[in-house]
Parts: sequence; C-alpha cells; structure tokens
Amino acid sequence: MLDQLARRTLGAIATLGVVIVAVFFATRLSGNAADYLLPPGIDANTKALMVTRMGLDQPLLLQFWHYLQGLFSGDMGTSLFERRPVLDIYAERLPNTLMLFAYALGLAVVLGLPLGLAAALNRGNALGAAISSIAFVGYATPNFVLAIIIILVFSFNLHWLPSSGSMSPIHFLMPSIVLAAPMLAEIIRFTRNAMLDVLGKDYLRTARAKGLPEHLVVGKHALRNAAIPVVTIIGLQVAGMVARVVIVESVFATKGIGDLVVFAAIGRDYPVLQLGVILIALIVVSSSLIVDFAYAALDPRVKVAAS
Amino acid sequence: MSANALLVIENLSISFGRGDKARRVVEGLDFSVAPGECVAVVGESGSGKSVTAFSVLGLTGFNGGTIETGSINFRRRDGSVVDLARADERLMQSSRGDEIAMVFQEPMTALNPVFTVGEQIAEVLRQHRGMDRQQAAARALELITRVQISDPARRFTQYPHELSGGMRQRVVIAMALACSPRLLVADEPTTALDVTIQAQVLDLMRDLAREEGMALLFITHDMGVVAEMADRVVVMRKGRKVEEQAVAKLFAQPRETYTRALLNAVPKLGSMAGTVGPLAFGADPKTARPAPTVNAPLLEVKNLSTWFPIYKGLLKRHVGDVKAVDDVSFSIGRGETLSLVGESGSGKSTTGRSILRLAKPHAGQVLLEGQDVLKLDREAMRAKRRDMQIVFQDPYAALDPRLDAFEQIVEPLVIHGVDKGSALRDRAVELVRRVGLEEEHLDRYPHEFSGGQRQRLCIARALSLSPKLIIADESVSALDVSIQAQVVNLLIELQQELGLSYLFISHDMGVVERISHRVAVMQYGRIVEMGTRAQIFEAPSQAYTRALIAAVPVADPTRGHYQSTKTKELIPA
Repeated sequence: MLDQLARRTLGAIATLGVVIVAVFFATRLSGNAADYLLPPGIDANTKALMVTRMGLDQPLLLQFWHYLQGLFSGDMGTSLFERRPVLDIYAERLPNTLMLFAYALGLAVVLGLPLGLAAALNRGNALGAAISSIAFVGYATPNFVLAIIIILVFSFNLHWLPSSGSMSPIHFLMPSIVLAAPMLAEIIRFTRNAMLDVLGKDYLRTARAKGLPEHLVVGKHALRNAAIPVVTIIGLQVAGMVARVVIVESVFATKGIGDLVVFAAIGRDYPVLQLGVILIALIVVSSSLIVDFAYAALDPRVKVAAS
Repeated sequence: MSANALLVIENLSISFGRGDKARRVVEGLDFSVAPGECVAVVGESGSGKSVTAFSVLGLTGFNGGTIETGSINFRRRDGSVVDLARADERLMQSSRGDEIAMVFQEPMTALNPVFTVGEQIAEVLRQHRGMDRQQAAARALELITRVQISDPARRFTQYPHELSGGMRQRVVIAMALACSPRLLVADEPTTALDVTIQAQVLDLMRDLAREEGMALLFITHDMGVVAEMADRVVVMRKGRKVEEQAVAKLFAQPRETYTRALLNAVPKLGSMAGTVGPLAFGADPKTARPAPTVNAPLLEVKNLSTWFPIYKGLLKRHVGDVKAVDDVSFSIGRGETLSLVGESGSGKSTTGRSILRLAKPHAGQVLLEGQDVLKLDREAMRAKRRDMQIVFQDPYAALDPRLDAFEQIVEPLVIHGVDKGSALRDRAVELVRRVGLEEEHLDRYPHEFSGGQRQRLCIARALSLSPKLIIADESVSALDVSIQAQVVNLLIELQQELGLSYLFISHDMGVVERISHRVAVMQYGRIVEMGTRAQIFEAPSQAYTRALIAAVPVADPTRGHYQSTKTKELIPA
C-alpha cells in the first residue's frame, strides 16, 4: 500500500510539472500582450521599448527558460499590469481565498455529515424528507442566484451583514455560505446514501448481537464505513469550489485569487496568470492527494488504483 | 417455565411488513432448550428458522419484523426469568453478547472491514465486563488462541480481509464466547465454509460448548450437520413446527411425511455403491446406465494451465503467478458426466471457464471433437459456443431481471440466428416443457419464479442451442435439498434422453456421487486424483480425497460424532 501512495504522490508531482509547462505556452497562444496593454495609436519606438522592457521580444524558448529559472528561485516576475512583483500580489490575495475555502469547507462538512446522518436515520419520516429537500434545493440553485438572494435579505433588508469586502471575518460569512451550499448539498446526499447502504450490512447486525448500544453501532461501526465514499466526494468538491470561487469573489468583491486570475486572463498579464493557474492546480492536486491518503487511513482494504 | 429450562419459546408468531402486506413468517412456534443442550432447528429456505434465531437475540425489530404473539422466556445467570419477546431494549442490550451470543452464516460479511479482529473481540469485553483497553486486549488474545487460530498475536492486529473464511468464522466464535454466554445461537454457521473447514469449525463449537456448559441453538438446512451436532431436532416448514424429536429417533422413525421427504432428498455418501452409473434420487438402482462407450471422446483437455499474474512494487514488476489451473488434463466421453471436485480456490471453476474461454488459458489444448477451441478466431469461437453451454451457481444473478422467461430462453437462438418468428415460440415451449415447466411460465419475469424454477430456466436456456457439452458450475449448490434433488434428477434425465456430456463442477460430494460417471479431484490448481465414481468413493488412493470424503457430515446420528475427521491441527496462514 505504501508503494501505491508513493506512486500517487509521484503522479501528483508529475501533474504539477505538466501544468507548469502547459500554462506557459497556453497563455501565450492568445496573442501578444503588448497589443492589449499599450494604448492604441502609440508610436512604434515607444512600443518597441515597452516590449523590450517586458521581455516580450525574446525568443519563446528563452522566455520559457527564464520562467523556469524564476520559478525555481522563487521569482515569479512582475505583473505587466500593476508593475509589482507577482508574489506580492498573491501574498495579499491568497490568504483571502484560502480563508474562504476553509470556512466553506468547514461549514459544509460540519453541517453536512450530521444532516446526512440524520436524513439516513429518519428515512421515510418528515425530518428525513425535509433534509433531503433542502439538500436538493441547495444543489439545484445556481450560486450567483443564491448570492444575490442572501445579499438582498441580509444586507439590504436586514442590514445584518456587509455585502462586500474582505476586511474582517464577518465579511467572509456570506461568501462562505454561497461557496459551501452546493458542497453541503452533495455531502448530505452522499452521507445519507452511504449510511443507508451501510445500515443494511451484516456487520451492523453483528455489532448489535454483541450488545453494543445503538450510539456505538451507528457512531462507530456504521459511520466509519460510511465516511469512505464521503471523503471522495469532499475531494472532488474542492476542485469544484475552485471554479465557483471566481463567481463568488466577484459578487462579494472579496479580494481573492479567483477574481485576480480572471482579470489576468482577460488582460494577458502572463506572470499573474501563470502563478494563478499553478496555485489552483496545486490546490486541486493536493486535495486529491489528501483524499488518497485519507482513504488509505480509513479503509484498510484499500488498494489505490493507478490513476 | 419449568425449573430446569434455559429457554422456552411458546406460541411465537412473527410477521414482516405492515397492514395488507404483512406476512406471517413464524406461526405458533413452541420449543425449549435445556442448559448445555444442543437443539437444531432445521428447515428449507422460507421455513422461518433464521427469523426465529434472530428473535431470541431480540433483533427482530431491526430486521423489520414484529413479534405478534407468544413469549421467549430466558433464564438469566442470576436465576431471574425475562421474556425476550417483551423485554425493553436496554435489558436486551445487556443480554446480547453477554448471556446470549450469536454466530452468523456469512463469515465474509459478519465482521466490520475497517476494524482489526482484536478490536472487534475486545469491544464486547469492554461493553459487558467493564474492562479497560489493556485487560480487554489481553483477554481477546486469549480467546483468539482458544478458537485455535494460528499465530494469534499477529491475527489480533489484522483486518478481516486478511483472514480466510474459516479463520473469520473462528473470530466470530471467539467474539460470541467472550463473555461465556449461557446460550449460543448459531445460524447456519458452516454453510459458507469448505467441507473440511466445516468439520473443524463444528468440532470446535462442540468442544467449546461442552467445556463452557453452553447450550446451542443450531439453525441449519443440512441434515448431516444435524446428525453430528444435535441432541434434539425441531423441523420447521413455512413458519410452523412440523415435528420435534430426539435426534436418533427423528432419523430412525420420522413421524411426518415432510420430514421423511427431507431425509430422502439428502444425498448419502456411499448409498450408490454397486450402481453402474448416475442415479436419480428415488430411482431404482437397476435403471442406472453406464456411459455409452464411444471411441473418440467429446472433449479432451490437455495440459491446460491458466495463470493469473501478480504485480508488485512501484514499477508493477511481474513477481509471480497464481497458478489457478496448472497442467490439467482430462477427457469427457459422449453422454458422460465428469465431476470436478475440490475446495474453494482449488481451480475447478477456472478450469470450466477456461474451457469456454471465459478465462484466458496460458497454455494447453482444449479439443472439442478433435478441434482445439483455444486456437479458434472470434467468429469460429462464437459458432463453437453452440456446442458448449454453461449453467451457473446463482440462478438469481444469472437471469436478466428485465427479460421475461421467453426472451431469456430464445436469446441464444436469436443471437446465433437459428430460429425466427413463430418457430421461436414453438422451440421455447418445447424447452420449458423439457425442464418441467409449463408454457404459461414463458410470460413471467425471473422474480416470479422460485430458485429451483429459475435454475430450470437457466438449464432450458443452455439447452436451446442443442449443445453437446454442458458445464454445470455449482449449478445445484444454492438450492434447497428437495429442489436440489429435483434438478439433479432433471440433469440425469436430460443426459439419458439427449446424450449430453456434463462437466459437473461441485464441492458437494453427496451430489457428485449421485450424478457422476467419473470424478476428478482438484487441489491447488492440479488434479490430484481421477477415476471412476466407484474408485474415488470406495477406494480413494490419495489422502486429500479421503479427507474430503471423511469431512462430509453424515446424516446418520447412530454413527456417533466425528469418526475420522478429528483434525486438531491449526489452520495455516
């Protein structure tokens, strides 16, 4: 099994390597940054000067070489737009996004597991049906709609929460809820189904026949088994969150990396875009690696299939 | 309740489902168990025997059942009597695992896959005896040693999937014994085990029950096991008690017709001595016919090997092979039955699958009428499949639930373009009649048939292309004994009418003796002994063959418990 985890780790590193190479060339496929950055009608000399300053006149492979050198020495270049080191920009922005992720993930897991469990144990009665319905609505509502609804209710009408910004933890509440909603719905659904599946297993009958009280039968014997598929879905949802964070950050004007990357892509700000994509890839790859390790820790039978 | 009884069940009725859909599965059941006594409850599927077992543990509600009437009085260690049918859940919980314990049918699924074996035993002690982690672990280790599992210290830290079926059942027994219960309820505890392992586990259970002075409530369908284990027998059918007798009396003079029929359907090893060929249950031995002697055999298997590679390490190096089938050779004549017997993992099923190319052989030849089927291209192989058909073990899984019986049966004819239109219907009618079903059955779906009827459908489907060879892979193993007898009779009859050849793959020596002309014994992928039925059953030359035959429980209580199989050796890893 250690073999397999080692193989998975190597795979994750290789994936990151591919992303690092691909992002450099892919960003340059969309055309020359100079055309976009410089005002129209600028004279040819100034333009040439600017292009040289930005290093865009060098051959592509040489640029790639500098990019790799920079990457390994911790210098990610300077934003073509803001004229600031890219790392400084991310140092400002990344904590906000990570905080948003952490709140959303925490919210989804802390609420989702018990709700899913309650839905399974109350299958067929009103409580179970209510939880399942909420999960369904949460899953089916687009996040920008949900975002606008809660802004209207909590900011405009009730004046309880700030509608935008990232100054204090309270600013993160609404964006976290919006980001967490689909994940929460998915965790409820999966926990419920996994639990229902496990509740019919022979080993729970064995646990009861041993005279274990119901809280141990469910809380120990069933939950540990039901957690296995749920862990997978949490890993997949983190990847989905990366996509949704772009919208959430722009609606709530959270100064995070989601919104930074989108503007960098539109403005062909290569250095910013490159690091953004690499960071996002790092988040996705490491979350799936964490899932693999968690899986191996939870399930002694696991044989991680080669990806 | 009388002063010396441990468990008294009176007028017990249990139903499943609610309202209009409620079904009584146990009806007015009475019997009792004395301290230290072994009472067997025997019956076929649907008799309500397992439901009765669960009710004694107070698990009826968890399975979706309701106790409608009656009482289950149990005398606790402190002398007080509780009615388990009415006791509150807290009282039940403190009795379960402590005063009354249970061993289940399926050792593969009865243990929780994510906890170590040691933890699952120790848990019981912490729950009922208030031991701390260390004390419980120490006692659990003692228990693992007690149930004769080799290398107990290592097993203690292992997970269920790392143990064989027999070892897992020992773990379940250790778990049940943890608190020295007064009553052990065993629900088909050896049905899922190989016959030699079954003998060891039964042995162990009897020894432990005697040492602990523990009473046994033994649920089984196997008359052989009843004869070897029970003091008293309760025969159940469709939720009711048919009769109750001391074991010797029941076998010698069964009162009820149903009991007699049940006993007659049990294949008895050695009952075929002197007959020349396969013999239907209940048939006159004189009607047995030897296999027709034709010079060229229908099927010749030469040096067949099917290996499954094992890969290990970071680079998936090929480190070895599981030799599932290793250099196996045999032949089957026209109209002849060759049985392949052996325990699970011996390679008998893989041999059958390799012949049909459902598994990929690694070397060797499979000659059907002289032509090597392993060398045929896809098209030729497809055509050749008409001559070779298979009937699987599980008739529930082998039929598509969305196709009606007609579609199931004619599907091979359609695929091979044999018949069309109304000819299909005529052929299907002929086939269902041939297997003892009626034309009206053709419009039904699989769930509307019983297990035995489904297996008849599977046989009809196999027959549709008029094959020369049928590979029957444990085809009667999942059936109740009376149904099993009917299906075996059908196979024998079809062979005599149609001149079919069978490769009959089975672990059940009793059935094999009845249906075979010749027998091959497999172990670790090789044939260790092959001969006529009389040679194998009356004068086996190999120790392994003798052990296999000796381990079969004999449905004759007068022969005493375990004559020859007393195997005290530990189970290897």
